[in-house]
Amino acid sequence: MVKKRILVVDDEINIIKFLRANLEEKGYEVLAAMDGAAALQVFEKEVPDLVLLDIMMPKLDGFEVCRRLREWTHTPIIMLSARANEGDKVKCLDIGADDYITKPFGAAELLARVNATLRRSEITNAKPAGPSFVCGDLTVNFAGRQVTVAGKEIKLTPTEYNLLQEFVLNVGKVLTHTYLLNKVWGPEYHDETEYLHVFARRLRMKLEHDPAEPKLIMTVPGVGYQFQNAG
Amino acid sequence: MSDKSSLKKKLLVVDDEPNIRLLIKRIFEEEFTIFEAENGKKAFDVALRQVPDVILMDIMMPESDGLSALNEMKAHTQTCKIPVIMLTGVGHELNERLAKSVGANGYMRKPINPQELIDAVRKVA
Repeated sequence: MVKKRILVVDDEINIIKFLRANLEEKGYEVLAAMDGAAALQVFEKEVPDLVLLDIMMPKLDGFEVCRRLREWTHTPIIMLSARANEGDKVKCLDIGADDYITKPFGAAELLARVNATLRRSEITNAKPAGPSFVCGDLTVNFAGRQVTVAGKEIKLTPTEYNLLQEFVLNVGKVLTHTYLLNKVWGPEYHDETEYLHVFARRLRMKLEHDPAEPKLIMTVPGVGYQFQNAG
Repeated sequence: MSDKSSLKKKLLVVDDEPNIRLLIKRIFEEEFTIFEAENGKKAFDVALRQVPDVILMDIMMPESDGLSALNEMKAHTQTCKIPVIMLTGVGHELNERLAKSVGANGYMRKPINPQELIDAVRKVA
């Protein structure tokens, strides 16, 4: 089996040591960088399977590294933050991170998040009836995991795509928060409603003509979301 | 109880997920007075007390499941005639067969399509 490669980025050597010890023990290969600029260089050279990225670093901080990586890659990124701050959490998800861990964290939580995130980036638990889904000018190609709006390709992160796929495979049905979190993120995330709202908002920004007046991804207040076939 | 609400038909929704109860309430509250229960045991109590016109009941619930409650309802003279539509979350086919053998009047697969559920309820209530 090919080892999964994880890039850990932190300016504290002790954190890097902790991450390396725990990840290597579980069979991951670990690459390390101690600042944002080095992280970008290592990433480009090695193209790891996942990035663990500290937010607070001198010069190039984690937010900026995440933003730059997201310009061209969908590799899963988990942010590490010293502050338990709801605003930071939302900001991380908004700029394209896949998850967020607050320091201090234990090995069990770290490994659970890493495994869940890697699993999400791999699963194609699609059971689509046809090779693609078409609704108005939106097309979702299941095999290639490609999405186009009016013929123009839309770049989605793995989590965004998985959420969209769950929507389009259940057109017209009301999907509860619990259902979507379980299905797209995994059972350990069933309370993280904020994740879902952030990703639904991101999908609207990318797919809807007017994200403020959605025609596809409808909110069912207090319950969940309903994808409507506008076509 | 006002005259208007006493004229309304009664619907009992049984699900351990508050989201699902809220969804069903939203769909049917104009037409029905809604009663809620979060497990099969409570559902049977409410069914005995209120004798609703229709029951929508989840199968998989902690503590007391929907099939046992359905069994009890169908065995009791006061509740045996109430139409029951079972909601199945997983293992649809097996659960639908079981529900039918215990006397369910219909079933609906989750996730719920509101229009299909409205049609299913219209058929029985």
